[in-house]
Amino acid sequence: MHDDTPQPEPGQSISTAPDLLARTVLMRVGLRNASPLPLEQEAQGRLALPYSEWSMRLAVVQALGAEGQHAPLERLVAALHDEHQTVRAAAARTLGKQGSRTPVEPLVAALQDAAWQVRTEAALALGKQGNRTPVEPLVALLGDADDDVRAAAAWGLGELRERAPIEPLVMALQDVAWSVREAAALALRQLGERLPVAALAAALQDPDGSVRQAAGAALQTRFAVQRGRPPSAQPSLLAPASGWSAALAIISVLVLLPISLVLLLDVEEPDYSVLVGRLIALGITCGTILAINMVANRHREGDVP
Amino acid sequence: MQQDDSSSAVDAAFSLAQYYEHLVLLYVRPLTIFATRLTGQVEDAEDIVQEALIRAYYALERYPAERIQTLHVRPWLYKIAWNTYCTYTGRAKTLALVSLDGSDGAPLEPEEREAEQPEQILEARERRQEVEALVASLPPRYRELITLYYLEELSQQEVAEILNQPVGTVRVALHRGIRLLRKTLGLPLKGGN
Repeated sequence: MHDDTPQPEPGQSISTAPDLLARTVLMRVGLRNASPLPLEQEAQGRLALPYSEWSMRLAVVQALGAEGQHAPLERLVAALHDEHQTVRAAAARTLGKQGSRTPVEPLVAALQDAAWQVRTEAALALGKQGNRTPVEPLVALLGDADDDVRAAAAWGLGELRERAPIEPLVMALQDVAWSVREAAALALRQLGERLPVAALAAALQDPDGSVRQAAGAALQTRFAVQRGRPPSAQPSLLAPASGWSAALAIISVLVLLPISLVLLLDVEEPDYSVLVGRLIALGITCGTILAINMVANRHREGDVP
Repeated sequence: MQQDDSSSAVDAAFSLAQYYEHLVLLYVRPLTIFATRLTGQVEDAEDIVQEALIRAYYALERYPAERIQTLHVRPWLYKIAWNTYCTYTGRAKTLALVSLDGSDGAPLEPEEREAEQPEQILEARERRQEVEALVASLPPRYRELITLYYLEELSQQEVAEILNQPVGTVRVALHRGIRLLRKTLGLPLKGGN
């Protein structure tokens, strides 16, 4: 069980004016710098000083983050263990922006943090690591107690694209929280042709409008991708299908076509009406072959669940 | 205070950071008032609003651009604030409202808001604060419902979505809440009740 209650800092004001509240919010998501560090301290390389005030430690992490992909990783990893959740969250965010230098293991460990904001930042950071993103920790995070952490996990899994596991995301479409169901639908949208049409079609009946909208957008993307293929890649109704559907089409040709040919080539039949009947039978046979191929193609494209 | 959704619409040249900052500055005060109405405590309300706005940021970070562009910001933020309030206070996110089967009054029609809006009565009598105090004294389920619908001026559909209830159920519960409020205010009840 996670204790998500933010810990008040010594001297922190209890009642806050709206502009100060807004500033605190912006600082906590990394859009405002915390207390500016004196330039001489930065120049003297004193950024690792253990300030007692959390906002100063946050300023240190932000200053380290400003160094871009040259930020000292060990200091940022150490900041993941800071006593204040905002500092830990900022460290996770900054680590996530280090590209190929980003250490994955400390971020995976941060998924167990007591504060929901740190777990969320760690999940978002891991989601940005491409092929280095571990799948299992994010799948496990879909069972987190906090709605937004589960939503971040769903987002992270969606970022895996072709490596994304479909089943956990389909399960997340049934989550109790609308934000998680919405995140799952948005994540499934990233899966292109692997997108589970039936599950998203069911999500179109979700009681929450945001989820319905996300599911609709995902389905729209899926079929837009299909429509947007180059003509050579477009499935043709007459094109041979693949896999089991191709086998079905071949069997239908091998069985039905010889019968039709035998009937047609037996031209010694003097009765004209019988000959017309055989021609009709041949037409029906060809139509059946065509219909089987069409159905097989539609199955292959996922139009028929 | 009614906010204008269109003023918050993200445009292509508007970064997420700028958009979010604009949104925070625009909504921090109304959300604090809303949360104070729910909790009755300014300190709790500020904690809730702070957390709700942070959660909103993470959601915006995950959203694709077109989702942000089509977002109805106000009800969306209130939904996040409501969920945060529920988590903060440990109450159920789905408000336990009366079912349609247990209705003891006619469902409220949308156009009835104007005719029955308690705050109009209050403004006319300069008794808004008194009414807010009366709303605060209602049982929680009616207080929260009336706060969302009348004081925050969300639509019945939006209230239904926030509370995860059918619109019809919300209408019936609103009707009951108004009857309670009228009774408390000493106003005649509609339909002679």
